[in-house]
Amino acid sequence: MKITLDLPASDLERICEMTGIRKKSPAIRKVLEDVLRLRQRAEISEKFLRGEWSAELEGFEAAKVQDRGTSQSLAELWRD
Amino acid sequence: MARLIGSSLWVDFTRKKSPVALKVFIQPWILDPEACLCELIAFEVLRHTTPQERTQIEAQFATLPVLTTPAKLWRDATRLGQICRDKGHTAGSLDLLIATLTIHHGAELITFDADYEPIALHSDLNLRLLTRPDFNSS
Repeated sequence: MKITLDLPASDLERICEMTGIRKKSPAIRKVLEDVLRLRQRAEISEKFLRGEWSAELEGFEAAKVQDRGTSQSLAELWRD
Repeated sequence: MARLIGSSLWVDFTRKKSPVALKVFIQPWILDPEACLCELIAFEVLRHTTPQERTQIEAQFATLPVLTTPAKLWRDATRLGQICRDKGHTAGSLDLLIATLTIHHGAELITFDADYEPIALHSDLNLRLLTRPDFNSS
């Protein structure tokens, strides 16, 4: 959707500088996307914080130990 | 500078049994505008999820920028593994891949996992090793 925005020139310059994007429309779009994504990140993280969302991730530690153990075993085999 | 949030933070942050105080400790790292993800860490975490957990964690992951996986990742990780090995340390495969990707992007790896420390010792890995707060001490 196309809209018309009235922004101070100094803000636009700052937005282009911050994003590293020279063209104004893409720069504004980038800033909006970043803000929305950060807001969404905060909202979802609150759900995990409150325990509304959660996981068990069963097997995570075991897999880590196995990966490191396998690397160690292979290293020892090579030495022999 | 991009800050790559390691699996140990994600696991502690999303796990039901984690103390709320630990989650409160981790949350600012996740909300950091420089926080990011990579496919390797997503793989490391998501492969252990149930269907319901998957939906929730994927939704959280979708809010973070993803560092690209460089084409030469395997070759560089092999070299890093060899360097560690030459110094007498055998690192885990995934640890080497994640460390290599972090170095490639000039990022900082944020983790509770001390197994990255020897890798950082023998490479340019920018490591921020966090310590879980002791919630029992007064």
